[in-house]
Amino acid sequence: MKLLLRFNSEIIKRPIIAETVLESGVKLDIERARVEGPQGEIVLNVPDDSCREVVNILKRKKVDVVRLDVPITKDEENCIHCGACVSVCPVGAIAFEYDWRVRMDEKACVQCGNCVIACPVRVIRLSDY
Amino acid sequence: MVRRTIEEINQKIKDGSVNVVTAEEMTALVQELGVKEAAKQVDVVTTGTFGAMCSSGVFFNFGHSDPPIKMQKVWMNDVEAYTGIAAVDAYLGATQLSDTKGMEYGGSHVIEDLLQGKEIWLKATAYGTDCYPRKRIDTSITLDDMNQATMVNPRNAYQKYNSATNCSSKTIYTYMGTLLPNCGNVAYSGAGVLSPLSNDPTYRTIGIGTRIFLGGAQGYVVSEGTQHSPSSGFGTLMVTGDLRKMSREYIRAATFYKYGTTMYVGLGIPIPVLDDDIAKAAAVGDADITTTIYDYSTPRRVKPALRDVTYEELKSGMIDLNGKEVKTSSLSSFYKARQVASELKAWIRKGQFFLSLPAQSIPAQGSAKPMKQTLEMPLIKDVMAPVATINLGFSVQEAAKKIIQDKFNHLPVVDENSRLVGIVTSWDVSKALALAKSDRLAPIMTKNVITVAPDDPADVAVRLLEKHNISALPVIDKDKKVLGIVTGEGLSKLISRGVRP
Repeated sequence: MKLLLRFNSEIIKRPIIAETVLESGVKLDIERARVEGPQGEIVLNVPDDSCREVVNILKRKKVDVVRLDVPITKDEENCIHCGACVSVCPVGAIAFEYDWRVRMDEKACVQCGNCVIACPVRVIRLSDY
Repeated sequence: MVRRTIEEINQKIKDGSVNVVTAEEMTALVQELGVKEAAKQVDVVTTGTFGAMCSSGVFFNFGHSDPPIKMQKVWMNDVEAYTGIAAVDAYLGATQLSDTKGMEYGGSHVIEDLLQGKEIWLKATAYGTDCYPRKRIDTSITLDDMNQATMVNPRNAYQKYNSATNCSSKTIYTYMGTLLPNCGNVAYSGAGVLSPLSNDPTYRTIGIGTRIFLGGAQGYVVSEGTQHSPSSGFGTLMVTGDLRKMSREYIRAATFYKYGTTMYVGLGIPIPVLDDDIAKAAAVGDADITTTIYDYSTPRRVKPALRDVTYEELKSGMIDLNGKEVKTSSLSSFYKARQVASELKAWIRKGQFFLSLPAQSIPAQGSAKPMKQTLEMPLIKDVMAPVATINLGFSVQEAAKKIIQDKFNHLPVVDENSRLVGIVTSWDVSKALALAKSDRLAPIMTKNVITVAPDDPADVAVRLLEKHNISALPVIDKDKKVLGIVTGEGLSKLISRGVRP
């Protein structure tokens, strides 16, 4: 399960990820991190069976936690299947199918936004959490 | 050897006995049966492509208003069209940007909106004459309200196209899409096996007047396209068709981020199999079509070539670039190109589309020339100024002295081998002295210095100064030795003297 964590200015200086790893004993995989000024965002990949525990710890530490069930959507009706999004995806979540349609593996998406910018017909949207 | 005439093929289309295959099917058929047998069996091979074709647009005639106007300037949904022709005629180009919405809306979007039956806002201004007294018109109009909406695309259906990568350390946004840093991806365009001109590279059946599939309707080849370069395998076509008969399925507006608008055009050409030679040419496969990967981070006409590559390799999704596996992706849609070729095949089978011989052939040899530039653009080495440098070991105090002594605002910092390692400005130095934080240069200097080379054109410097919002660029050689400096101030002085960078 992927989790989107938002850090506000109060907590951003604390080593929250390290603390959470130590307290839970769960290996957290950081897929994307962005810190801009007093705010930050991290996308974590957490094993499904320890998700609840990790979320509880993070929430106690005042982190805003959102589950990324459907991180991204592509409007299939209007997609022209050109492929401009395929090679800019850092995690290989977008690929051509056998019939040259562009298919997106939503579960693998880390919401970097590269494909949104690359799409010439503007059919890809990051889910707004 | 098989011989057929267009008349015989059209007769077979009429009586429903014609045998049509797509260019992809033809490749497989020739591999299986050989050229002679395939030529015997197949009457027509259909091709198709669906890619971003910037050189596209539509001629409109809006009809006359009362009192009449001779349009001097005209806008369709705030996108300007060219009306330097008769009173209410105008040409709207796909890449023209909206005056109000910028790159998110352009000529291609107006064309797509019209195709969807939407109303668009027409605004025109004029100087007024005795016969055309009106000076302004504002009205809402749909495709059905126009007398003509004739698509004329000066350059479509590129036989093949360059592939692109980016060897610099920053992401760039180009007409070849997003190119990731350090050769992070390769972008290509073109339908390969289905490409119309790759299936008839000697222009035996594709010529002036050839009936084609354009945007979901019947269209025609007008002539060779602009920049037609058949000798190097980069032939192009100028094509025309009636926009009112086209469909949004095959004409789509697009925006390339930080580049601008363009239009995806679906275009297909039927190739009559008149003899074995034509069958053989139409059996071309992805492995037979070679193109070159260029470094698009060099913003020059001649870009460094990295390697040659076939469409088969490009379409595999991964290629080797300097020993590294790099992901590839296309900008043109092979899925839609197949749809074009299949739809054209269906039209011919159903007797809805007949083949035509060219009224005149298109040159199969020749190359496009570069622009003749009479005012040679100055190079960085012609416009750079000498600059003092300071060694990394010196103190902020000494840097301050040097800046005052030499009257420079920028001081490149070099290491013991005279190689550039940073830059300090008079502002950096004043701040460090005022705050008295550190006396060393390293903590206060900018380490990631944007530089230029002496042989770069001067307008590369202008673009870099604007893009990074900086005031000066050190000029360095291959060994990072500082040769001089280009400043925004220096460039504006040159421009005011009439030297045009």
